[in-house]
Amino acid sequence: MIKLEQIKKQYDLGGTKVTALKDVSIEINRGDYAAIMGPSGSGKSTLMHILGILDTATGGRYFLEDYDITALPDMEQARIRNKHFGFIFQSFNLFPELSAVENVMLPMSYAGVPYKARKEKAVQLLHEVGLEHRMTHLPTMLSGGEQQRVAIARSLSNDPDLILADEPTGNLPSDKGEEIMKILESLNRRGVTVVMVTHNPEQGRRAGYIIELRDGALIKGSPDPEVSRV
Amino acid sequence: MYNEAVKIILRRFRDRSLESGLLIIALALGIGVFTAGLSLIMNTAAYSNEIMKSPVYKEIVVSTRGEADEMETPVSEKPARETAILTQADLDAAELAPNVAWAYVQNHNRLHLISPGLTDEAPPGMMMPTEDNTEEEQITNFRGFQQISDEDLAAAQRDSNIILSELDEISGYSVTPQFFNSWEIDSANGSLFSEADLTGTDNIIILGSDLAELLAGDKMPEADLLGKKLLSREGYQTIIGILDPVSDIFDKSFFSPYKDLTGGMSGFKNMFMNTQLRFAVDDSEQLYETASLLSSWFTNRFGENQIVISNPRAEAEQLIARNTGIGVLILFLSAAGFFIALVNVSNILMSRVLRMKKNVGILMALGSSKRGIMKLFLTEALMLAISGSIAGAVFAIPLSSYMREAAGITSGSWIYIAIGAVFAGVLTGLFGLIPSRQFMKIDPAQAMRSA
Repeated sequence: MIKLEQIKKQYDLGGTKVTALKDVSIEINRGDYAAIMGPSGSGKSTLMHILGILDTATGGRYFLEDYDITALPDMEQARIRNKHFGFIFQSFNLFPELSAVENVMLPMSYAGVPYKARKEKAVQLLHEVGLEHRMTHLPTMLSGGEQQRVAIARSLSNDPDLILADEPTGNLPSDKGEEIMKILESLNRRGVTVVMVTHNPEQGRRAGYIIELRDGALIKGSPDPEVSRV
Repeated sequence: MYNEAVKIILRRFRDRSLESGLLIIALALGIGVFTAGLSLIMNTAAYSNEIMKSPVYKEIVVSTRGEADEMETPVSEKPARETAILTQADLDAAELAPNVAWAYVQNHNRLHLISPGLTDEAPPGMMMPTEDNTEEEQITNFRGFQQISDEDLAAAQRDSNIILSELDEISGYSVTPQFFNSWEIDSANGSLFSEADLTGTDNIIILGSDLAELLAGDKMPEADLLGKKLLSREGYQTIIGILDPVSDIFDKSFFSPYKDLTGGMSGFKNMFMNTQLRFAVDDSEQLYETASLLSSWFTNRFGENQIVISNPRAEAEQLIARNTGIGVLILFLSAAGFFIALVNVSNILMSRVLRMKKNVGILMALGSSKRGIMKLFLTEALMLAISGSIAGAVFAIPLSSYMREAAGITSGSWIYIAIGAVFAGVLTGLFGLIPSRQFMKIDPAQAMRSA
């Protein structure tokens, strides 16, 4: 589904070039459950952003379904992010002005889904993550675990091909983190491709595919049959 | 139904009501002052163009020195200062000024009406000459008022051909017929008067449209006034015509034939009333040359400093230039104030946008394009612009009205306030867009990292 070839990313920090990614080549297939791992500053988030077309590589090529999307116009990038990717962030990133259901409806409005349809879909997704009793609550009235479940529901709103989760349990206590992991694994079992950034070796082991980075370079980047699935 | 991204902006706007309210007030003040300034200059220009079309501004007015100084001169000194007396014959000066299209006399006049209940109480010291008075008595009491007995009044009341008005007095003009030509008054209910009427003995008058309406009241159609006699202390005045609407002042006035008698009471009266001669040209460009020719003619006839040749257009142009200058200054100051308000609004919006920088990154991750982000901030800028423009227009209406009044502009259009408010609103929207433009250059990842 996704193929990165020799991806490079350099930042220019006041005249000093800082390399975040060095010739990273990976392939992610439909139905994969991948974990991007590595120490702080290894380039995990940068790789995640490039995968989600939130950032642009300074070298290499990016293929989505065999289409080279390395340099697309802004409008097209926005359309791909909206239709094909779902994002889950460490700090949830819900909009405090919107209720839980409105947060889930938001990506669908960019996809042009009519109000009634997107509301029905949002209600259904919140049911699926067990928040049917919290629909109209603002994020500030929800616990961290509940907020992350809203974020998961939001990421699923346009039926994405790929969910990109950036340390989705990083801000949660372990029990709540476990709930989130189970939801993600359940989604993967239903056929949703999941790519997750994590520091947690246990979570990494539960993924079927580990992409390990160190100093921007790929250390390990192919599906590991020895890693057991949950 | 708003989409969810717009709801974010609307609710942020609502949640920061104090900040939003202050922004709107700042904008309303800026837009209000700017709009009032713009309205003033536009109304000044429109009003100037309009009044300059009046025949008054295609005329040279010739009057005696005493007439020109009337405002400053005590009444008792006037006869002593008068040495020149203008008469209708002096209209012959037009023969030396080829550009003069019409030459006529236009003197202020006044009729003191007799109404039931005010029969014989003439103002003190004023006795109307009767046929039995000698000419000397007539002159002594030239503004005197005729006594009328109760019997005569009762008879007049019974006579359907005589009009007794509740009005104390009416004002108007004694004119020569070319007055009507100059003002292009060629239609009247009834008739206009002719040169022959200037020497006739009958007292005839023509009524302006508003005056006719006032005199007719609900009692009769205005046309029925024709042929009737209006009872005044100056004698019976036969109404021979009613004019179509001309101008505010003339519509409320009457017009009587100018009687140019150099001797007797009328001559004396004309001396006191300072006959004004008016020379109208077709093209205002010819006014200065005409004024120069007339000045020579009257200086030859009466000597230096006896006659004042005035050019109302030149005086009006000076006044307009002064008003325009003041208007431009006010517009400049108000535009400067508005600009400062805009910059402040832009700065405050910039800080609001920066506070939303991470949210912008998230919105882009969820599918918004950079253009979509700009539209979102445009929504906020438009909300400010629209509410600021409406509040500014409301503020500008009384301010503009006061400024127009102060500038002596008696008519004006509110359309300029609407134009000014819309223009200012568009400018506000554009300034509101400046902060969001910075997102056109950054990636969503950069925006999200800024939190």
